[in-house]
Amino acid sequence: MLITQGGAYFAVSRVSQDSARKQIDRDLVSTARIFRNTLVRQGRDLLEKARLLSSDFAFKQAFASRDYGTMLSALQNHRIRMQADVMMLCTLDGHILTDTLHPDDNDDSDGSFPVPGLFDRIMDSETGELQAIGQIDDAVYQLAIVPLFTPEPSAFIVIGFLIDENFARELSATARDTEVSLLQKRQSSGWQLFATTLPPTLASDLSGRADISTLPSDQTRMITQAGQQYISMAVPFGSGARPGTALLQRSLDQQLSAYHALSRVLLGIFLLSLLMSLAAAWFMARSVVRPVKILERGARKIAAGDFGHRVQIRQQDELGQLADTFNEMGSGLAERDRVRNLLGKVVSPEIAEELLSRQIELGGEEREVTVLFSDIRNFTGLCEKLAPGDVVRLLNSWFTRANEVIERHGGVVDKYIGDAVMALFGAPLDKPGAAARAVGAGLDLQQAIRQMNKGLITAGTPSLNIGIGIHTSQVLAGNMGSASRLNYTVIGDGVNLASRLESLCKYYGVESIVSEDTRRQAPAYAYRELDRVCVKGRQQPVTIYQPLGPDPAADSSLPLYRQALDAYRNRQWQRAIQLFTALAEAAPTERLYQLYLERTQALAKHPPDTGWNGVFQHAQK
Amino acid sequence: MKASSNIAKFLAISLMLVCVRAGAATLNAEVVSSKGKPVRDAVVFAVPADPAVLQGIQAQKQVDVDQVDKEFIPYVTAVYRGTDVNFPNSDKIRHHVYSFSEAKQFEIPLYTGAPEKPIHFDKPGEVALGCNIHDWMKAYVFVCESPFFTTTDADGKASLTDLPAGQYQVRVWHPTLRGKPEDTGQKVSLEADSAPQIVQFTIREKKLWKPWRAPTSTTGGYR
Ligand SMILES: [Cu+2]
Repeated sequence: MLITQGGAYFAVSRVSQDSARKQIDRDLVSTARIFRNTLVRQGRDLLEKARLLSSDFAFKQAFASRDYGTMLSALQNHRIRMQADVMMLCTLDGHILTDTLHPDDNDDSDGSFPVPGLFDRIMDSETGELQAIGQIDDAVYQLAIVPLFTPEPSAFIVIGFLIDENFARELSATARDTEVSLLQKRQSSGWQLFATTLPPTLASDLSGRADISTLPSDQTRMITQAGQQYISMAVPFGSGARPGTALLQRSLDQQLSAYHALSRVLLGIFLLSLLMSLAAAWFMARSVVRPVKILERGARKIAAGDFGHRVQIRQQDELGQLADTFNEMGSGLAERDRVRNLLGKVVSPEIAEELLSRQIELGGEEREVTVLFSDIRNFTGLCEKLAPGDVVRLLNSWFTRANEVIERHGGVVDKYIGDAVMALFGAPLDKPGAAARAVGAGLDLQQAIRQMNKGLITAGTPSLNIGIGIHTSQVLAGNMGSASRLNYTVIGDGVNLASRLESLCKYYGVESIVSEDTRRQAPAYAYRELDRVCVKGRQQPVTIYQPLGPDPAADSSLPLYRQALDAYRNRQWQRAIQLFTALAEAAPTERLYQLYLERTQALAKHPPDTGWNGVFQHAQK
Repeated sequence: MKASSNIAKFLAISLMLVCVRAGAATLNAEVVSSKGKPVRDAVVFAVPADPAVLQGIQAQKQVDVDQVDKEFIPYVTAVYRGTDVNFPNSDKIRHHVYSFSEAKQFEIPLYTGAPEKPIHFDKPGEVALGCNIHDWMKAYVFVCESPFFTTTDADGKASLTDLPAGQYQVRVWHPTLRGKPEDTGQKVSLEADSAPQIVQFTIREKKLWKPWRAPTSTTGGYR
């Protein structure tokens, strides 16, 4: 489209040039004709006016009287009446008798004939009459000369019109916009400009130009004057030694101005189209490229984890819809992220990770897991003593510490049940040393509660006691629940046993109990065997231990206790009573020794049947 | 030497004077232009060397220069000085005859028929006649200082008869003559009853433009 318009613009411009040139040529030819006709008409006119005086009887009488004053006033009178510019009376041999240009020079017959070469031409003529272009006092005139008959030819009457700026202007006025310059050939300085309608700057450029003389008559030529292009035509006039040339000129630019207006319009349309194309391109860039960039930036932000980032594209098109979708995606991601965070808080980050990273499905897998149960022993009593808000604060404070401890040991909190915490080691991630880590965690939990109690005692709040049960067993691990609401957890007898062990802590007066299965897998710790028990809902007896610390030789009393316990198991009641009494006396706060003392004393009174294997039946929960 | 030639000249002149008185003679003149063409209306006149010859010779009583169809007729009229010339108007319109010439300036304002009185020409020289109404109307009266004059015919020829024998200056005048008739003089010695002498003149002409005459005279008006 742009090419078409550009082409049209240049074609019009070209055609305009040609057309303007032709129009100017026609106009100049026409002006030249007018110019020539004007000279012919004026010449005839002058001749008539001269004859009028020549046939004036009174003038003849004045001439016969040789009264030059009278003759001059008659000439003046006639000149004014004829609206001529000059009148003269000359002798037959070509001397001026009197003339209106120089009224004071009368009776001075040595003034030579005004126009050089003209006298001879008159003498050669058939009638004694002549029309000529002549120069008088540096001015140029169109002249008519006729003899004065008295009745013989006795003098010449000369009459003339000035050819000057007015003449040029009037000619110019007949042909609008045509500049008229009149030049005369002077012997000394070549062509001299004596009248012109051109502005002074252009006129001075024209005067003395050599190429004027080489211009062919009546043909148009392009002349450049002061940077402007002029179609010019030289029209010769006059004759003799000092011929004249009328230079008719028309500015090509001016002629083209109408076309220029048209071409400006075309150029305007062309530029407008260009502008519109650019605007369209810009708009496209704005409405397509820019949104795409925004989306790209947005995608980068999302990739970098800034799910809160939103793109703003206020468009009603596909890109706008894409932006909305993008924002929805961001919202979705942010929601998922939020859920993940919450999950990480509610459950352990590992479980959350497991949940999010794997295909979520109902059911789970059989795996070995160490389950740690911990609860606050005197929680119910505590609740009665404290305001509910303080209870929650206290509880949260403990859970936070507990969670921290558990995570430190690579365990995950599976759930909180009231004041209890259930933690898993070896699930969901099957990290090695789960049992040992669980035992370590349990010991640290004891440490943590002691630490916390220091603060509580200082604050006047009752201190907390916790019980911990740890058991390692094959359980079912996975997502449990309904399709819309899943929990990752573990289920199985082992879980229940861990819970039972925890509740046995109070009975044995210890803070922590681990099963033999756990102990076997965490041999690096020192343990004190507590008992061999059968818990409710479980046929298999289990040996339970109290973890003492990382150093296996932590409790100096263990060997004695070991003997006491062996005696008990071997039905050596008295020896057992003896030993437990000694232990209880040495450690009166140890409920375990007291407990065994009481139990052996009871068994000594009522010895059990032969099937007794030292397993203690815990009937309660 | 010088004195003797002067004496011879004197003797010769005295002899010629004797001859003139003896009887009549004839002079044939021929006038051509510088281009060799015969000149019509040229006035050829002989001025006697002895002014006494002119004594007793009277000018003609009356000469007419007529005006017919807005032209003067004849074109050239030669007269002896002291002649009265009438300017009768044969046209039905008026004419206004004038002359600004040195030899005679006069004016007969608009008139018809014969003017009241003739114009007296007593000074030698050419008198150019014009009409104030009709610029082209032109004629000449040539006033001779001698009664022995004639005008050439269409062949440029003219004859002077009954001239007394003697010495003459023969001169010519014509409207187109450049210069004065005095400069055209040729000395002629005429003997009584001799064969006619022939005098030839070649005229140096001057331009003699005529006022432009309207191509038709039928359109009324005064032209
Ligand atoms: Cu007349």
